[in-house]
Amino acid sequence: MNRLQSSPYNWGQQNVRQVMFTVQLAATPALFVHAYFFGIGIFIQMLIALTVALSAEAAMLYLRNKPIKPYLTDWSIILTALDIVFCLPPTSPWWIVASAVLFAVILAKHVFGGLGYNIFNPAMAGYAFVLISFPAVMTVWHLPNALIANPLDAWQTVQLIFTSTLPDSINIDALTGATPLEATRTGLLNEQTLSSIFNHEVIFQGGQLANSSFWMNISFLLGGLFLLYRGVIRWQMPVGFLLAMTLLASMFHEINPERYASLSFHLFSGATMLAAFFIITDPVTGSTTPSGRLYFGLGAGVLVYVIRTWGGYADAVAFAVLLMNMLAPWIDAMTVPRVYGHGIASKPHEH
Amino acid sequence: MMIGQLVEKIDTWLHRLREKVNFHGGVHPAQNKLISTQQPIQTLPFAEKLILPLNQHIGPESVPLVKVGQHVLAGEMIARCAPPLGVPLHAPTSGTITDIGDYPIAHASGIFSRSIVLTPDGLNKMAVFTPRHIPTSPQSLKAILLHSGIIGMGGAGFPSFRKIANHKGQIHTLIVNGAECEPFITCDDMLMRERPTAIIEGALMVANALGAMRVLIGIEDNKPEAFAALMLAKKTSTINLEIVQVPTIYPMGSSDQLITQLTGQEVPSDGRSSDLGLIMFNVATLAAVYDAVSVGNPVLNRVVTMTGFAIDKPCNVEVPIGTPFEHLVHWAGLKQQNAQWLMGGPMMGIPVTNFQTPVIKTTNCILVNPPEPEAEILPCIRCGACMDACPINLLPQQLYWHAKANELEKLEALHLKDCIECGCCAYVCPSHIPLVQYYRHGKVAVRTANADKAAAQYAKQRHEAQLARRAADEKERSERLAAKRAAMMAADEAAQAAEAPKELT
Repeated sequence: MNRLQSSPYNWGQQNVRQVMFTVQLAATPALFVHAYFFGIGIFIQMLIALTVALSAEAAMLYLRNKPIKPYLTDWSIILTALDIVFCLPPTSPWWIVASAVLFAVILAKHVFGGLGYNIFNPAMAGYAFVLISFPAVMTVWHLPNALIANPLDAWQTVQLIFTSTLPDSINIDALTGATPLEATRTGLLNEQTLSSIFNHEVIFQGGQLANSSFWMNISFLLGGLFLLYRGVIRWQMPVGFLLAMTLLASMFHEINPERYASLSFHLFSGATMLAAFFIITDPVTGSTTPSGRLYFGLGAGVLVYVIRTWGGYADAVAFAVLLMNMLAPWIDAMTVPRVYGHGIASKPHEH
Repeated sequence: MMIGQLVEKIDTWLHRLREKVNFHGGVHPAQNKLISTQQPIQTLPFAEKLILPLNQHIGPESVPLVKVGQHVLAGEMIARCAPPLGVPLHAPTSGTITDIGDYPIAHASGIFSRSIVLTPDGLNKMAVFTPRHIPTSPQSLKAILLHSGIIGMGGAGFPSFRKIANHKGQIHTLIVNGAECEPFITCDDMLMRERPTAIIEGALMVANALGAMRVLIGIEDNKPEAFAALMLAKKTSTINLEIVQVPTIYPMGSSDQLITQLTGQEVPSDGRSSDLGLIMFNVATLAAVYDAVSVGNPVLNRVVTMTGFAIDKPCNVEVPIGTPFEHLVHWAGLKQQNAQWLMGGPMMGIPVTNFQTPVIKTTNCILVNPPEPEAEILPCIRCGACMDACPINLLPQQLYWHAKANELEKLEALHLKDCIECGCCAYVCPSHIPLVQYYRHGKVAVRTANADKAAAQYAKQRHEAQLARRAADEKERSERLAAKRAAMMAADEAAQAAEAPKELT
């Protein structure tokens, strides 16, 4: 369809690429904070993810007889790769990230019709796929470098990711441990109290400065505020998500502080801020109406808290988002905003 | 649904905080207005011929009163109105009628309209005009509007007399539209600067005739000169006249949006502004009203913005109705041959491919720009930027999906018909999807389907009526027969009874 058949004949400067790059920009501080805590693993993962993603995208576009260049360079693929690598352990083997990305691009995105047509968040579908398929690898996280006696150097990290080998002097158990969420979950399952977990688990040693989860969440929060300021995301989704988490976490913590973690623990552990600003805000698979976005955020927040607290996984963003994706079309249908001039009396003026 | 209302309230509040605007959405396209406001309104020599379409307004075509070869004076009526909805047409200058036939007009489908062609004699001999009495009732105002051929000169082209309420006092506020929100267009701006008294007098005349107690003039705050000129021309009157600067945001000049901005009220979707006791006139229309009363002349000329980056000397010109675009563009100088011509602004303008297209009473701008680079259209990512920009608070991205899938019932349920085709959605779309085009197609499809449905319904009703009529006829006949038979049988029985022995009685 020719653009010039119908008004308007001018349009703004914004384009899909810019939207994608702005998100990438907002996530950049988090990438460096991640690298500060866990070494350069995340950059290697990002390289693998992008390579696989671009190849898979090009191949799928070719198979679907779509023009490759414009669709490949909409750069939506960057966000998929970005969301996946932030969720994966930074030193997990290359084939983990490759499988996640392949699943995301091929099955979650292109099988449904490509950008704009997918009903499930591709990154979360890909992550959920590897989480379910390779649970052993996925639950073991690299410890923050501050908690390791001899952190890996760059070359050793590359070797670990691609060949799963380590120098003889280093034992894998010295490098890895449970994440804060995993540690509390396991502890609680073993009938420990929260205060004893916080006192004894390795991950909680080193104080707030060494708390990688906390600083990652802070950097996502700042990036998210930047996205809000630039108008790339709307306030309803993060507000709804964080509001639901806040209400549930405060309420249950009030009931039993030794069983239910505090509000600040929930807000600044795991993928809370990543989800609030970078994942649930994916426009394609989320709700699009003004109040629908709030309901979508609230729903995701409730699901994350419920699965974290009583479910089978330490964190729950992927499952919460995928479940909410299914509801998005229904939420949209239920939340059509009032149109100008509707729902007001149209009686002739009496004078 | 409380949460829905709350979210909408917060959004409205955030929007008002950012834009100081009372309606939803809106965009800020590059204005490009300064290039055409550097010089006062110009006049130029007559074109060789003036093409006067008989249908410049919304309503039935006017009926020609002249013959080819006839000489006419400026202001002479050359086509009468087709009652009750049309308006008459007058010769803009003196000259000879050289043709009555089909000529191109600026229309989205490039159609032709029956037109009278006038070859000016260059003398511009005026018919005798006599000033009219200042109208004191809606009826006398209506007569002036009708006989002077005044239609909405802001672009709507709705015959002005049809907007007038029948009873004095039905309208309490006259709103004057001086917003002029479309980029590039400055004809109202220049008119306000140069003829502020005519506009204010015209407004007071209309308000007086209608018994309105208040006049609100809304001007976007990017026109400080026009605002100052009107403030100077403002005079004391029993009518409360306010000149209000409104924020510069597109589509502030859309009538419903300006009403909401100035009064805080929404015009009901199934009603009119008169339901709220309001009436709106464009500044150029009011200047025409003033001329029609104080001088007595009908609409002969209008101010047109001749602008664009492919034009040598962009400026505003006052030209006779019927002047071909080409005459104007050549006078102003065309820098580039493959330029794109539009009637109107870039947001809602109509492409013009035939350069003989004439200026009509609603032509506010001829925009000639270098061709735009073809935008690359990507899939919709449902980002919702269109929804945030929509001044009507529609869901443009959902309308797009449904229009594409031809789901007419859903289009109706999401109120496609309320779309004003302002183009804000397409302007902000990061995928550069020509959304308005889909909505235009969708509207036509809905209208056609409804017409088909109505026709089918009508045919069904007629068929059922016919069946019912037949059944009734049949029933009547059988009843008649039955009655006849019964009567015969009764007669027979009576006869038999008469013949029978009368033992029993």
